[in-house]
Amino acid sequence: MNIKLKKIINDLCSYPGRSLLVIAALVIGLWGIGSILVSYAILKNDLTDNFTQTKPLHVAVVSEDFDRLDLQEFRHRPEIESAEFRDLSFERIEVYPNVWLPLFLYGVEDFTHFNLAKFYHQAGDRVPSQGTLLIERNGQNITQLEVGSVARLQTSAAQILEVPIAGLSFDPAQAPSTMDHLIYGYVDKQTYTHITGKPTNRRLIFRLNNVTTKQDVQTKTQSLLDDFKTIGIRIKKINLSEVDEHPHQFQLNSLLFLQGGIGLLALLMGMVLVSQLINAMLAQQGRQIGILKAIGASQQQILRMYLLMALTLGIVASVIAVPLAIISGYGFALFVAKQLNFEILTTVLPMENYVYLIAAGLLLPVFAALPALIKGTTQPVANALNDYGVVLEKKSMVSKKRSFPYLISLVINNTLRRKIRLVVTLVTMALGVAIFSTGFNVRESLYMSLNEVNDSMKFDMLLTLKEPTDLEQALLPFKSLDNIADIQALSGGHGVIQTQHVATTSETTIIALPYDTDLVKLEVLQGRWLQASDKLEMVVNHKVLETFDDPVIGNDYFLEIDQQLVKVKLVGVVKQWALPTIYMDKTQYDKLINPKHQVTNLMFIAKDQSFGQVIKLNEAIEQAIEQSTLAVASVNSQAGYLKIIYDHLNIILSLLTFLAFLVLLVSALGMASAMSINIMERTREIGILRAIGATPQMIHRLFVSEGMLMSGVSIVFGLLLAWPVSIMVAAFFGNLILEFPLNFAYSGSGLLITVLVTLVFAWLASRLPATQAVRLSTRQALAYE
Amino acid sequence: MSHYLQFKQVSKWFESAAGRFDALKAIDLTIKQGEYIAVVGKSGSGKSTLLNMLTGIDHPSQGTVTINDTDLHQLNETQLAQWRGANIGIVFQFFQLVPTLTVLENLLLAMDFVNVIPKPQRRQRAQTLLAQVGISEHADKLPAALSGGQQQRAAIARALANDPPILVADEPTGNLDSSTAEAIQCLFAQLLASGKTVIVVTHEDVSRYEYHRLITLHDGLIIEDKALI
Repeated sequence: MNIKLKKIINDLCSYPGRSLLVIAALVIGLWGIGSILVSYAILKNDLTDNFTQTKPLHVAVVSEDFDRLDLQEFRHRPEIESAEFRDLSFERIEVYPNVWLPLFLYGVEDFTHFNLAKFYHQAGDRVPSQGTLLIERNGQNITQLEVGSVARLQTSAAQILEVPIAGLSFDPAQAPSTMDHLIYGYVDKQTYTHITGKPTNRRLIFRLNNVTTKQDVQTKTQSLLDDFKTIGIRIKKINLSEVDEHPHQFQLNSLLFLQGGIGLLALLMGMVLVSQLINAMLAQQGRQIGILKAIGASQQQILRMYLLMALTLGIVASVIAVPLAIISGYGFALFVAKQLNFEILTTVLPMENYVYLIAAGLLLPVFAALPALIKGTTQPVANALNDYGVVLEKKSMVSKKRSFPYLISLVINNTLRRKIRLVVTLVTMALGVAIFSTGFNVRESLYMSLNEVNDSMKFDMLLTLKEPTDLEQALLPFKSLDNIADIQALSGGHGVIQTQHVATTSETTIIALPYDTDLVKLEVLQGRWLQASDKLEMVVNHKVLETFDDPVIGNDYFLEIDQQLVKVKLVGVVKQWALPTIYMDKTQYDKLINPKHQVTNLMFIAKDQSFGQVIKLNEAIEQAIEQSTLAVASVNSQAGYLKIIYDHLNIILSLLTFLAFLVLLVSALGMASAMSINIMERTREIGILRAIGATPQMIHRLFVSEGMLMSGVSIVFGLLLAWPVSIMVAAFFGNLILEFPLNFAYSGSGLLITVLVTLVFAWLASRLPATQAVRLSTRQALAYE
Repeated sequence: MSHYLQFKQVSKWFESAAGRFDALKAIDLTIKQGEYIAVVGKSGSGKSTLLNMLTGIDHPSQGTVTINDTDLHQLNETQLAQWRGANIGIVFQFFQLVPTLTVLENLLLAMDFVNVIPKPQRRQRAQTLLAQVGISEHADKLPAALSGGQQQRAAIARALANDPPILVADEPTGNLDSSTAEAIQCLFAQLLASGKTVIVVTHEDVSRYEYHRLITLHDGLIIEDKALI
């Protein structure tokens, strides 16, 4: 074997503990970065691929007049890629006894041949026989229904129907049932009419050719709608989709962004860690470098030799880390895929990813080692030969003031000896603390925001009726229920604000409520809340702003409600995580739109608002509905509503917490390596201390104290840094997912956990090298070179 | 004999918090090829500094060092390393063998770096040198497995690996028992016979050995330079 290579291998084997620590650091760094790279490579395409392979619809149009449309002719229009009638009705399905969820029931033309909006067979029957139902597979996670069981459906006519479940489908174009808390069902056209009582072919879905943006879709759809108008097709409702973008793509984008950010941080911290450890190895090689130079080795020869050492470490680490990264990267991608209900399609990782992984494995230690190597190899021979570790070149800060006991002075002076290393360690550790703490703070901010949502809606249950109903009739089923303190009724319906996008804008829910109600107290973002007024006023939630092209507060708008046009003044915008909603004063609304004072919603306030009692009330309301003739669209508890929001964020926050923990772990390893170098450099000094009477316990205590001092300072800096970082991250995730920033909250328990975990890590990080240090005998320590 | 090694007005000083310390003060020195020189002096007299100047391990603060027409102060670190490997063999007081290589490999490493001995001859040459210093049976042992005397012999063999014309030894017998020290001195005598120049820094009684010349240093100055034979 080549002598230089043998020297490298022997050097690495001479201190197996330290070499293993370097390899472990490299493995952790590479594993982390590799997992992120692999899962990123899979996830960045797979959700989109899953989605686009279904040929998702671009536009859905609802009309009672599609009898006038020649579908074949429509399909042959140049702007149409594909089209079919896919009816949709919102029913209810009993997922557990007395627990009902919305059922999005689709009437499907042909289960064996899809023109667009394809879904896949998963289990049971591929084609449901008449009178049976397929449900989307993700729904199984929130219901006890399974293939072969009989589902109870509540129809628009307030009937209970029993429909056998013939099979499971997989529809990757839908938002996951687990997150949106609803079930997707698929039936043939006859069954659709049987269940819903509605005629079929009332909802036309189509894909357009040559569109890349929602704006393209809007423009092309507009001309189609104009043509519909000329043949007498009146549009009741229209929905435009983002072009080939999954409804939950935003969550994946957040995850990928988070992965990218933390991956970069892990890479930097991994570099620091590996650099520190290789420094530690080279610190010991200082004199050897001097000897090698003295016997004729040039700087380049030595540099090449030690780079080969770094490369060897990289190869060993890569052999371990790359397979682990691939396994865990796929594992993580599978986890995300399960959460978002899509299939992993990337079975073979693209070759360039292997190249990136191997390149990272080989180059990471080389780059990390390079500065130390250059410094080590350019050191003059005489200095290298006299390299016995650290010396205190200047008077220390502490020696000037003598106000500390000598042991504390020693600890502080020792800590300050290698200032650059100290700064690197403190920064790394502080970053770890900051990120770890941020994970808790963002979680706390979410809880706080959810509490605010809860406080803004003070009712316990909200019942939404299918159709406007007389108040007495709506209240009748619930009169005999216990645990009801009050029921308040709301009016409303659906409307369209007349803006320049009127023709292609979806209908928006209108809620008419007493302007001074105590039950709805939403945070006003702009303008003001409703008040007593002679004029018809409206307040919209922030979702309306984007739907209706940013209407301006103070302006009057025409609102089309039930084909009636009314002039309404926009007076405010409220913060609300919900679909676009318009709020109006009930008195004004009833006067102009709803002279019969019919109601659309009932807000229930429980006497006993404990969670268990509210759940019981929910069940009691469901039982009452079942025994009545009331056509109900949904019954939602506030707790359920909050859970939906929480579920949307939980996957991201769980990942954030996990990654934050990893960052803290890496930073603790960085500290362990720094302590290890400090101790190694001072091995002779340890010998001297022991020669003058220091016991191994005292030396152990000295090093652990140094570690704890460093971690204490890191914690302070880290927690201070966590404050602005948490505010930014909470704002980022809030804006991305809820479309408003989360209200920042500092987590007290998170603070405690951060401090405790960091101290434990720091204690371990300093204890292990300290234990190693005191294992050497005094003679060995004094003879250490 | 021609002037082989020449120090002209060589000074070396070190700056420290305590002020400037002059280790060598404007030294003039010439050494001829084949000389066997003892450099003596008390601790701090400048012996090791002189040795560092001579081997190119350190640069003079002032003055020039010329060895066989090569001005050391004009060479950069890489050139110095290559020159040193080919021209000077250094024997350190504490042996300074690479602890993770066997004795034989220590010699091969030195040859690998300098690349003046043809590759096929290196192993044979290393074994011959080890036999010459009397430790051929320890060729495959790690330095730690050898006694102090054996390690010093190995260090001498390594110093000779590239067949340098000059051998410099810094207290080579300072850590050895008297009989081992005798053996080492015998080795140096053999090297002289083969035409090498040997410069030894020592604390020991120079009259016991057959040095050609004695140079005595005190406070960075050569206070005595006398021929012994």
